[in-house]
Amino acid sequence: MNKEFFQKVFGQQMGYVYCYKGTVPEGESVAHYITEQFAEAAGSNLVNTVVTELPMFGITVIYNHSETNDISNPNFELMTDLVPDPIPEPPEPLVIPEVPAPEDTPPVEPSQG
Amino acid sequence: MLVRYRTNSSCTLQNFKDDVNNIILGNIATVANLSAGADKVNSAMYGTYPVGTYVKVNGSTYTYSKAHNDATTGKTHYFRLNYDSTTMANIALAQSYTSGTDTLVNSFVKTVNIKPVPYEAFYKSGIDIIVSNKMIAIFAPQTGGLQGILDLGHSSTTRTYTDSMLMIMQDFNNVPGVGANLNTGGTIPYIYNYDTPGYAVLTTGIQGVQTTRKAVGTSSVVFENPAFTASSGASNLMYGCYRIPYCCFSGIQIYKDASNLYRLTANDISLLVD
Repeated sequence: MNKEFFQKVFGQQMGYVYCYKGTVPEGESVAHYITEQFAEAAGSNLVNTVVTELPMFGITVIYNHSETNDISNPNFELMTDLVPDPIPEPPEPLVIPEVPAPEDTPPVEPSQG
Repeated sequence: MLVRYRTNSSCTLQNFKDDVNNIILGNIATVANLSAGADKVNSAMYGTYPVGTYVKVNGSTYTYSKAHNDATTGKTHYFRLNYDSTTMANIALAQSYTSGTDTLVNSFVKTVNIKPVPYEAFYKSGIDIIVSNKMIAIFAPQTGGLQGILDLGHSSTTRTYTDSMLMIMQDFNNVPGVGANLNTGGTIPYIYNYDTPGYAVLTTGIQGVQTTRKAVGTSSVVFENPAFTASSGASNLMYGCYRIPYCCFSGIQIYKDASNLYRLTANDISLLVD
């Protein structure tokens, strides 16, 4: 469960994903209840969110389509933003210093005698 | 129903909001019912309004419910038009809605920045709005917005996982099969995804068999093939949306089909007006 996973789940490259830490009262719709809790935490009813349960991981997450993370509520634990990581600069090419060619050594003349 | 909505230079944002709202709610029987900001001479209406499909669900926001055109599905989804100080800034599509707090549940929002542009005869500038039992589409080429919210047919996935939505937000700037934006631009905000696995957002596009145009005597026949959502999972029929031949029409035009029903075309896609 990393950023790439959530980018696929929510089809987005912006916004924030939170894990819901609270409980949902019996008989309530999970999506409706958590959305309302989130709207209250965000201080606006004009939020655009998606609530999804991930049974493989046993958690419920909420995605908020927003450019900022303004949520500071213990029931919503930030898991990741969905902004793509910057592509790292390619490493500088290795510069090999030029080694001067060895001077030509004259052939050893055979000694006479 | 199609309203080819044209505005004059004194059209205010409130005029625009009122007209769009009244068009969606069926309060515009003739172009004479449009606001003072409308160019009533150059505006036009085609087709009939789908009674019983759209309801404004909140007094202070432009939030509407839309019943699926196939009554057996029993689905109702919601959309919201959000305005800023000068434009229709974005459109949101939601699986559900909480009326007490006026909150969309499981929603996707798309920035559109659509605003009225004074009518110019040379460009025929204006906004075309389809309000049918199958879709709402707002085409504003002068400001770059060609958005549609369309009903989807069922797939095996949506029949099994019944919380899945049966509506899609589609950007019709994306031409099927052509260019960098081919087969993209569609989003279903909440549908079961076997890859997750769980309910998720599905990014998709338009898929449909390429058709041809054939000469018949002195006229020609345009073949329309039904369009489907294109994704890695099951495909869904896009109601009232057809793929037509490549470059069959230039720009955004209307024509009548063999049943005398009007169509609006853009980018090799034909949308049923009624």
